[in-house]
Amino acid sequence: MTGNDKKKERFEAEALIHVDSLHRTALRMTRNENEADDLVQETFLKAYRFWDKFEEGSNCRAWLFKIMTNIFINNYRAKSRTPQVVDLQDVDDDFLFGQLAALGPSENPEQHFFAKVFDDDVKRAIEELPEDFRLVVVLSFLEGFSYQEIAEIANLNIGTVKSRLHRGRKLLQKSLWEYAIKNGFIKEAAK
Amino acid sequence: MTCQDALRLLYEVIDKEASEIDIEQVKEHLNHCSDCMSRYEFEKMFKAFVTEKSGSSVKSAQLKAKILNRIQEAETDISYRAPSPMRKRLLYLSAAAALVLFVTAALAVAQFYRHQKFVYPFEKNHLSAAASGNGQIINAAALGDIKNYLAGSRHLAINGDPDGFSLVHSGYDEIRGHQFVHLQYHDGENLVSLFIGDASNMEMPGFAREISGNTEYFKHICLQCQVIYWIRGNSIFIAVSENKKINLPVLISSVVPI
Repeated sequence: MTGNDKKKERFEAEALIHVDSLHRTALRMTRNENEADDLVQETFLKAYRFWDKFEEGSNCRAWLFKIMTNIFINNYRAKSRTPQVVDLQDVDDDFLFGQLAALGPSENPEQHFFAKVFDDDVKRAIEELPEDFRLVVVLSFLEGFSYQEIAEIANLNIGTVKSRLHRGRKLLQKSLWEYAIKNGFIKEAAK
Repeated sequence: MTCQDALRLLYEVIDKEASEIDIEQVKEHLNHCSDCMSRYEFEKMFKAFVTEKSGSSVKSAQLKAKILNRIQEAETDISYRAPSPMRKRLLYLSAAAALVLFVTAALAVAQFYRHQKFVYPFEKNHLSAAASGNGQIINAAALGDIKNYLAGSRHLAINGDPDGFSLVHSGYDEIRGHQFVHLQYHDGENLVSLFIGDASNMEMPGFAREISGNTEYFKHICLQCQVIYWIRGNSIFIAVSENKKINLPVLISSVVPI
């Protein structure tokens, strides 16, 4: 077996097994099937090229996400990027919780809400988050990375990760609530 | 711990990022505060809900195959860019071998062309005279003429024939744009030609310098013939024989001094 075969075999076993996970995040970040495909392929090609630099025993998945995030930020994010100003002044931390509680005496308004919202609505709500918040929410909620890992992947400090995650949660809840109202799953009670 | 403290740490507890002590204190608070507890339950549920609903990619097999394909394609490129040390050594070796081969071939070609240009004309005249001469003196009458010519053009006089050889051909040859007297001798087996001409503007590259006694001459041996030349005064003497064993300098020195 040549050195290249061995390298490929190791790469397949340790890196390529994360293809699903990377593709899921790529989809949410690019919001486009083709671009997500390209982004994932580019990520793995780059990872393969730098496979010698990957330290065996360290977190391969986080390493792959860092590569992908860099490629995404450099090549894929919206061309005319203006600073993302998100006004959350009027959104309370417990916005959704409060809205649901206000729905009335029903035992489990949140159960009712969660049962009504479809997968596609959640995906769309995530995709509509501003990029900075979206990345952190996806890495945390979908991929289960720790704050520290997210900080390293996205090249942020932990404080920024925490605040973006906090605001991302609020935005997500608000947006899901608005979907539910618009689609009539929930009759807005607290108007 | 107040409700405010508990809520501040809420996400960190849910995300499993809070310290052991914080977790314990928050849990402690939650056990006594149903409002905070239901908020905690809700946020936990919300996270689980989002995680579950965002689903997973289902096209991994297809994508994996594509990636492996592209790696395969890139592989050739990569090995060119970053050859392994072994491969590198091999590359250098073969490059060196190729260079040596190329230089050798180039030298051989250059030598061939040099031979064709500077030496071959004499060989050709030597060999064609042999073919036409057929061992007989073709033009005996011309010899006196030639001797007069040689004397008149300040070339050295020629003294008879080499030992055991007799003159079988004499004439004037135009070689490389110069006028040469061509004398050819035969001993029944071997032919020897002697060309005498003006030394000016006669370049004879590719000859090795030889010293014999206190005389100097230049020698060139090729596939067909041995050729020597020497220069006396204004004259260049060129001797050619297809027999490479004949000692040309000794043989010819009995005709003209070398």
